[in-house]
Amino acid sequence: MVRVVRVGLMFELPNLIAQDDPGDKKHKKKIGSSINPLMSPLEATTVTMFLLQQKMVNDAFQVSHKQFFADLHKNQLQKWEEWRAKKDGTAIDNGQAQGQPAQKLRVVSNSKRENARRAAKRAAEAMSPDALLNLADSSLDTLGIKR
Amino acid sequence: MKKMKQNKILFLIVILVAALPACTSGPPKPGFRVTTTITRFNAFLFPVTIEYPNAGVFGNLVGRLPSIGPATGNVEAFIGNTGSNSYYDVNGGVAPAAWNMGISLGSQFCGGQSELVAILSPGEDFGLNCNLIPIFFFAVNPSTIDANSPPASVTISGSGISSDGGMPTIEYYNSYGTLVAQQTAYQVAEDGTWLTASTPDLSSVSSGRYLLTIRNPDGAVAGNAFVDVFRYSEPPPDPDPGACGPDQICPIDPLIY
Repeated sequence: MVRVVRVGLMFELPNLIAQDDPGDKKHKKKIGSSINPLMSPLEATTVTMFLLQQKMVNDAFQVSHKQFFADLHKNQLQKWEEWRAKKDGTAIDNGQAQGQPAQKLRVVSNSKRENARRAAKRAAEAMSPDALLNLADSSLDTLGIKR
Repeated sequence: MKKMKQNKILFLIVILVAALPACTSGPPKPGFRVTTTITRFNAFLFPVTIEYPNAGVFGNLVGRLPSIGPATGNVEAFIGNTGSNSYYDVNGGVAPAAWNMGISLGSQFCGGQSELVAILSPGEDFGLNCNLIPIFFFAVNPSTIDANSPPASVTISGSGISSDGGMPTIEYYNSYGTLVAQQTAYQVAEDGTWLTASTPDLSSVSSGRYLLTIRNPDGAVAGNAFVDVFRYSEPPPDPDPGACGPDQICPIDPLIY
């Protein structure tokens, strides 16, 4: 999921995500090679904050790993079917051509967001002041990142 | 040592952001909270949601819902602004009840639109989400390539495309960031607003959406665009990467929820 999110963010943040080593002057890549798997601390922070935010506010991210990819596949299949229908001459106008607004309001449930807020609050309240102050150090230790 | 300190500072920022929701108070009871967000589909068709601050919101009570429970609160209409926190608390708003709620005219997104909302219990937090049609800064023509009869060339328009010291390269990545094709441009506009390149060999590329990275001769990325590559008889493959490798952290299903 992190990789997919990084590729998605590459589109909007081309000069931050998946930056290559500036010392590499060749710029020619091999087919089958991957975007730089190493992230700069700034990129890692951006990606982590993006994922945390989406987990809080976006119902598409408030699902299991499997469901997330199933939904993604569904969107891609839908796009492919639209293209096929267009090829076959059986395409139905998607609405945009009929003057449908480019912005559409919908009502979403925030129950998972509220649960996450409560869980974070409970966890913070249960921590001692000392543990709270050392949270950054202990988390880095847990993740095996040198501090 | 300096880098380690930098890691710690960045990590502290992440922790602060993660802990921020814990510091906000809950929705009012009696009453409810209206949160405003914006969602748009990114290049790879997954929705990205961000908070929508300073949105004007309004609501009018349509009717109580006695079948769900006795109504609490006595506020039957409201007009407010979600402010910098992107939410508006309707203190004493009637719930459980059906409301007609929307974004006020003059707001940046979805202004003047409204929806019928059923608030099932007092203290509920629900969202008014504005779905946007995305705007892409770099456009590819054609935007869809038929892999069985590809066009001879593709034109990409945007800005900052350079031919100083050579020609830019167009890299085609799938949604997992794997380079599937690349091509060097053969024509670049003098003002750097477009380039044309031959369509690369897409014979082994499966149906789906691809990210195009436009890399200038100095290695800098001028921008990114996307293109759909389709085969009539071959649907996009299942994107689930499946089992993860020994050097990866494999998510447990469900990951959080």
